[in-house]
Amino acid sequence: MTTSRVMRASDVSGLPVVTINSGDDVAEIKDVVFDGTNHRLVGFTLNKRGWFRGKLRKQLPAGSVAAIGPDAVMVADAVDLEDPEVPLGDAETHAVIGNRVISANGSNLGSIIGVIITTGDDPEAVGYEVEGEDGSAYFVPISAQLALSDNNLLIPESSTDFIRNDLAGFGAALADHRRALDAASQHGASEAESTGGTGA
Amino acid sequence: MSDAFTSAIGRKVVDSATADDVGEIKAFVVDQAGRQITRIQIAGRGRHAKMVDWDDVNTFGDDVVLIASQSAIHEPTEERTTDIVKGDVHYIGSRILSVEGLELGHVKDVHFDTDSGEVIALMSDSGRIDGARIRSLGTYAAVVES
Repeated sequence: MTTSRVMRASDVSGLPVVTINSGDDVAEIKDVVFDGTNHRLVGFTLNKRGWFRGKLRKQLPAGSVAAIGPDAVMVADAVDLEDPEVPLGDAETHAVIGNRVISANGSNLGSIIGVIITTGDDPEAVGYEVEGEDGSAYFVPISAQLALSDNNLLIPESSTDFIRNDLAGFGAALADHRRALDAASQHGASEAESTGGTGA
Repeated sequence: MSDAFTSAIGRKVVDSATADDVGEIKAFVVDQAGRQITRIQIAGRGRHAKMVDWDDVNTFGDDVVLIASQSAIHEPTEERTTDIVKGDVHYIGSRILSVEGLELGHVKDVHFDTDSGEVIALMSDSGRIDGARIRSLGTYAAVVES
């Protein structure tokens, strides 16, 4: 198990994609493909390496990433780059950048300017970077309870306590957020069980 | 016995049957896994480099390297050898990347076993990396376990 930390998805762009089994830079990350509807990191589009850079047809699904590090994105083998029948970015997704972010009590927190992902061997989208009306930046955790429309992202009450204004602090808060969600869902499940028992 | 790339480069290569000087060590060809010396370059360059398979090295001595016979000398026949002879892949100076995508410096020297040709360790600007941690050596980096 590799340690995972958080980073801006936009910071992955430009990193070389290096094979662990041959030490070659087989591609370079072009863009992050993000499924806004499900708040899910789908994968990466790629550029060629070298002097004659250009778009590479092959793409890198998030599931094929061995690790995202500060200096390179690692894959086990060159065959992990896929030649997709349907390009990753063409799936129907909500665009999230620019959406207004609204808190549970109805305040306008600002607009989404980026996606935060975990590094390590199982990268996933874990948050949004939000720019407030006053120009300050916030980090909002992603959870299944987030409601997203074409224009707005509604932050549930349960996530409000885990909003942070620095990326390092946000990384630490994520673990607490997850624990809180797990506790809430377990609580919910046991309540449902006992209710069912009474009914029978 | 162990030796190092930087001290072995330039060492005389002698035919053990005729005692003729046949060249000097110019480069080591290491397999893609970065763990085993497969050939040494003893003269020439590019497509006309003179190579000797590690299996045809009889004795890797401190002052002289003895090879079985001059008939063992050949030109590069496969891509890996060509990549190394042309300098597209080279251990000394190579970037070191962990399997987690973190750069760990550059290779300053390579220690190897003079009997088996196995790579024992990489010496980097951030310390010694045991050979068992090496995953590959390629055009971009030597990839190692964290």
